[in-house]
Amino acid sequence: MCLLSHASTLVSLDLPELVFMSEAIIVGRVVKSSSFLEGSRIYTVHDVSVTESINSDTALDRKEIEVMTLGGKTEHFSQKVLGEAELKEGSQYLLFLKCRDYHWVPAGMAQGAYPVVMDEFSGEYEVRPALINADLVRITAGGIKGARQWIAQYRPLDDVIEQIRSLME
Amino acid sequence: MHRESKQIIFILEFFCALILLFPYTANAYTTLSAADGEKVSWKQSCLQYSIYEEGASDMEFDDLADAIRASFDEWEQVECSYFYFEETEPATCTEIGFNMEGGNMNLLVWRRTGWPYEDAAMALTTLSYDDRTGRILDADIEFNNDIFVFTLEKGSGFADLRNTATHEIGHVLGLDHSTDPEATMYAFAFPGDTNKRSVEEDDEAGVCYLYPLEDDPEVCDEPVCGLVTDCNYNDCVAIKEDKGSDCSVTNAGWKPAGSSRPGLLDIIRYVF
Repeated sequence: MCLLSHASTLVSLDLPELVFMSEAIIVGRVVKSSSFLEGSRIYTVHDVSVTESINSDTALDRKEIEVMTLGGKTEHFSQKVLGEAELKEGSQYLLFLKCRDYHWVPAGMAQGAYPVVMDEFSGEYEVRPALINADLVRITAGGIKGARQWIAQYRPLDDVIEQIRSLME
Repeated sequence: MHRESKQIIFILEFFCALILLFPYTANAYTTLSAADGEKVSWKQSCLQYSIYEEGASDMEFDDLADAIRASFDEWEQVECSYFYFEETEPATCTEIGFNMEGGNMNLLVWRRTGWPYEDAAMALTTLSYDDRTGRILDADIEFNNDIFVFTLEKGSGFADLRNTATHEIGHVLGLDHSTDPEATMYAFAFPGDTNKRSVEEDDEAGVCYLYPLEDDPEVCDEPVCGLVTDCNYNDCVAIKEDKGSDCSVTNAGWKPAGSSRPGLLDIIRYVF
């Protein structure tokens, strides 16, 4: 079964690192989210309809996958996950996924999930900055230093996908 | 032309003087909200915390405990806030989360081996609360001591324990991240960062918003269903078998703190 944790301090991952560590990279829409209590912890399972599988070797030809995130709400009992990805029903995301304990989970927690939104003027899909509610630090030879997300502004989805594919070559 | 330049300089100087005289001090802190907009906070005057008895690698337990106490003290010394902390006996087990079937503790633990989460996570905080009232029920901090070395030496290049702990305790109190780079609750760490060891002005504003002196409930309860630091749970069966009953009715191992427990019955009814 899945393990659950709540994060507040994360090592920053750049795009090449995310691509390298991900077993699946997809664009998909969250169809349904449901939280459940297991022991003393809450998990949320998101049914994600895959619209595009970016790394073709992961065999994600299924129409729908389950992505698990940490925390959630059952009845009136909530667990807040600072640093965990927050996926909302009906929204579309670019997801960097790892398989952990039989479940897909966002790689690097919140750093593995980026909202994909259609620009109302151009009609093109854009990748928005991830909602990373955590400390991001960077480990270097000189120690720990501050870091920013690799994606800090809106970027066309097609450009991001092209960049990901070029990194996979 | 020369005269116009002088006028422009004068106007700029005037506005600079205004800024210096009346500095803009907008708060940048943020807090967590429950479903109905209620503040997510401890609805009492204190919380009790427990440090795992084995501490961290490469650090004496006493040094570690002193550092953690210093981090809690930073928050406790904020004058406009009533909130304080009580240290319990060291914990002998490491279970995280909110136990609904008997006893809890607010734990700080260093996972030395077998870190079971994402490697990228250096420290994890689990915050459990009643989404109806915003009442925090339990908070635990896990440090990734499997992959990361924590230190108390400034400038070592490793993760500064006090820096990390003071920030995490801010989350335990119900504070979210601040947009003020000077704040302890700012979301980014900097090279050799030890600035977050101390609580800054914006953090003080945040904790005083959550726990203002004038609202002190003067209640300091043990965790729900009693303090348990050894994971030998006290069979608080009232929760499951007799919904609506207070833990104290059927749980012989639980000792109430001798003060009123406002809202506890409601929480048990609705949460469990």
